[in-house]
Amino acid sequence: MRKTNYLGIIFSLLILITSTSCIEPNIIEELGIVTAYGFDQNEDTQEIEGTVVLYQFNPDITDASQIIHSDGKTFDTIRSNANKQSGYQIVNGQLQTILFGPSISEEGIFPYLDTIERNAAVSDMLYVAVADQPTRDLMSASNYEEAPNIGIYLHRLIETAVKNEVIISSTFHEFMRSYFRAGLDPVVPILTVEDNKVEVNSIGAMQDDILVGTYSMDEIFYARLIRDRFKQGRTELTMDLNDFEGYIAEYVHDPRGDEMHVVLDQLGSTATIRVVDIDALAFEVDIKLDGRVIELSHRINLDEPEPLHKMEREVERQIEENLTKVVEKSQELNSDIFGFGTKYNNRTRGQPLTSEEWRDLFPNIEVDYNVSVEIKRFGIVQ
Amino acid sequence: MKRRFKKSSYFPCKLEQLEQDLKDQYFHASPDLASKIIHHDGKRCIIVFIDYLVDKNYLYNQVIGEIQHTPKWDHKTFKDTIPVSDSKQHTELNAIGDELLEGAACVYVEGEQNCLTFLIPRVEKRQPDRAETESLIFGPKVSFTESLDTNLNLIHKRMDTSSLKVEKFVIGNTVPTEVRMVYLEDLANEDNVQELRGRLSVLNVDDVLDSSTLTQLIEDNSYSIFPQFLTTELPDRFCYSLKEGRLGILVDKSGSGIVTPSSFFSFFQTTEDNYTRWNMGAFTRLLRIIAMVISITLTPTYVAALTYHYEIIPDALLVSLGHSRTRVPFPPLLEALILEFLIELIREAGARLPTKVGQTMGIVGGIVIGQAVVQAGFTSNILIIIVALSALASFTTPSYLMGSAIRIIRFPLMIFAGLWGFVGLVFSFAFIAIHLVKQRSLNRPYFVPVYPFQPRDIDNSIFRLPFLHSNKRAYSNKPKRIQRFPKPKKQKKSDIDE
Repeated sequence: MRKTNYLGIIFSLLILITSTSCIEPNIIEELGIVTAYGFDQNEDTQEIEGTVVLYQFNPDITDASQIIHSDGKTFDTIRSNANKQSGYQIVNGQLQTILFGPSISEEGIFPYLDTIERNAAVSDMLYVAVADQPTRDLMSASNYEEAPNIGIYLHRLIETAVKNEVIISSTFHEFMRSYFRAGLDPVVPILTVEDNKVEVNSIGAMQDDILVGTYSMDEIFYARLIRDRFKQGRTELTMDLNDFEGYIAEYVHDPRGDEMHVVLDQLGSTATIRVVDIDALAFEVDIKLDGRVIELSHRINLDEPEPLHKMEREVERQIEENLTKVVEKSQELNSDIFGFGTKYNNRTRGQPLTSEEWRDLFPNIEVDYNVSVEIKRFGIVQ
Repeated sequence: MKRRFKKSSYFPCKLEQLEQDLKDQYFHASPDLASKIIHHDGKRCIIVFIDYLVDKNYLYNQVIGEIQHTPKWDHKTFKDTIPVSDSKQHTELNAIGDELLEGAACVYVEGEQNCLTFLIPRVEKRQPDRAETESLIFGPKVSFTESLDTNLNLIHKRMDTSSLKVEKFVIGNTVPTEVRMVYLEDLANEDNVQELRGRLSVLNVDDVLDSSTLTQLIEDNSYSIFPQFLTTELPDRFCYSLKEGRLGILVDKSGSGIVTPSSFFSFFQTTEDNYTRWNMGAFTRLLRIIAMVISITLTPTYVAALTYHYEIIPDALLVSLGHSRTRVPFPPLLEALILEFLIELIREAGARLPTKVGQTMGIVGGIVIGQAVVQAGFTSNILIIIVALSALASFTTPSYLMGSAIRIIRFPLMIFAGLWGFVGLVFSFAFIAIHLVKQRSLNRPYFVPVYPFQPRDIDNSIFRLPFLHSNKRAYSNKPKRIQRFPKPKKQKKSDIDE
């Protein structure tokens, strides 16, 4: 049997005891815990105006939420300046949302994200978002439902939209990944205030860290088809009623008109981007989509294979059309949010692709679409 | 202490001389030494005994009665006629004295060369009763008593087999106590038997108070906080362990038996797990182990998270935690220590007081103080929940000793968590893990089946399978026969509607 190494035990205990002071205590009630930051640029002074949403626990006030405004040239200066206005130590460990105002997002937001990347205490799962008006105004919107403060509300708002597959997820981690990867640009949700309540308005396409354009909620669906995948998506399409002449059941009150609205839900999709010809910059996007019809504005007998196939082809045609529009828009903005560049990079050997090279190439790429749609169920329509 | 008497042949002597010598030299004028002189046919006979040590009924009817009815008075006749099996002839005074202390009556006819003793002890013992400390809801409820005879009787009744072997040891210099080592000869591992026999025979102490004291004398590591030998007051549990190939120890005057070698997880088992159906048994076993982990980790995690790692608190909990902490004037470590100390106080006070007062104690301690402490802002509500939960969890451990170990181990863990946060917590968990892995019970690994990893033993320690599928004894005990019974052949089942 080995002898116990008492010297070792004493030594390690000694190290432990002396290392007590190495850890900085953060006792929860002494902290101002920040849940959201908003950054705006002051046009006159070129300083950054920060809006800090935080918790400060006070036994007599039930609402622990506070908003502090502070100025500074860097992220950390804004935090420490905010600390001058608070008796609590302001910390970033529970940060959930970072919001950038319009002026700052057009000049580049990366410098402010850098400090978060270096801080291990901050979660990578926080959301990066852009506001279409000064964040100071947006964050003072008083209607934030049951959420304990506006910071948590913003996080929930974006999270719900991502979960419902309405927008493309843009956590800090995903933002940084797209930012650093050549041939892929980040997207961010764009928030706006309507009736004193914040809502998701559109998503913004970034060129590296600069906001260059926006995609409306309708366009997001197509952007998402290529960039991400659907599990529970939904979309609404408008079709020409005359195409389905002969299959329309008679109504008592015939609404007619020329348009028919189709809502598809439970959409599942997979997308594959392939490089067809590397020199001609020809790409092909294969999209497989399946879903069910949940709403039809007119009564069409989908039990028959013919109208069903007709509808599937029509959906395919419309999706292709819209995809072309969305990709062309992104080429105009020169912001590759779909990741064509990464596929291109995979096929080129030797020199790795740089972001600048892809900026030159991206507007010239040719994309073909192969969309195959399968309508699996169309409900029990009697 | 050795009693020295002159070794010269003492007998024959006068009756009065014998009586006087016993009284003065051996018993130092004890008031309880009784004697009676009977005359018959010109012969005189003295009967000496200690008043409260002999069975009076037996003495009057069988011994004195027989003597009076015997026509011929000499020791040979007495030995034949008196119906007491345990009779001896002694020639030395101190031997007679020792015999008297064990509850013998000494008979001496004047002029004889030796002295007769008849062992007729009066034994005060209680009947086997319901188990108190290891109470069961389901299954046999009888517990060991303080009498070795009764305990052996209980075991023999349950283990009606010739391979049950009982070895006798006498331990204690001042007060010798009888200790029995019990095992099944055809199952128990020979190395284990040798080891335990060695430890018991080498033991040189003045006294063994109880079986729990004996475990502390013969266990592998006296410095460990974890008990290494299981003590139980349930004969069925004792016998179950023997049937697993373990060894048992019974101590005279002690109401519990010792089971060895015992693994860490055997302290979390009850026989109830075997009596209930396998799925319930498996569930309760897992429940107890989870409760143990909760009991150890919950309060230290609270302390660490609130002192250092506010980042890990889920945002839904953050507000309520922060609010309940604002009124507390102490750092989380001190807060937790105060509350844990309070719970320990209530527990200890409840245990020391008689049952009826103890209940009042629980109400006063639990409800009144608990409420007042939060109202006064001494602790946060959430900590009260956490501390109560971990105290509750620690009481699910069936072994009282293990339960206490778990409660006590929380205090150093809390201090580590309060001083170094999660770093300290991980450090102390590593320390405990290393300690457990290194620990032995009767030279067998203590933390089996986790380390050394014995997947086949999980059935008998952490989990439980239906009996027909668990036809093997625990491998880690290394019993001579591993198989309990041959695996039954699968029977073809008929359809339910046939």
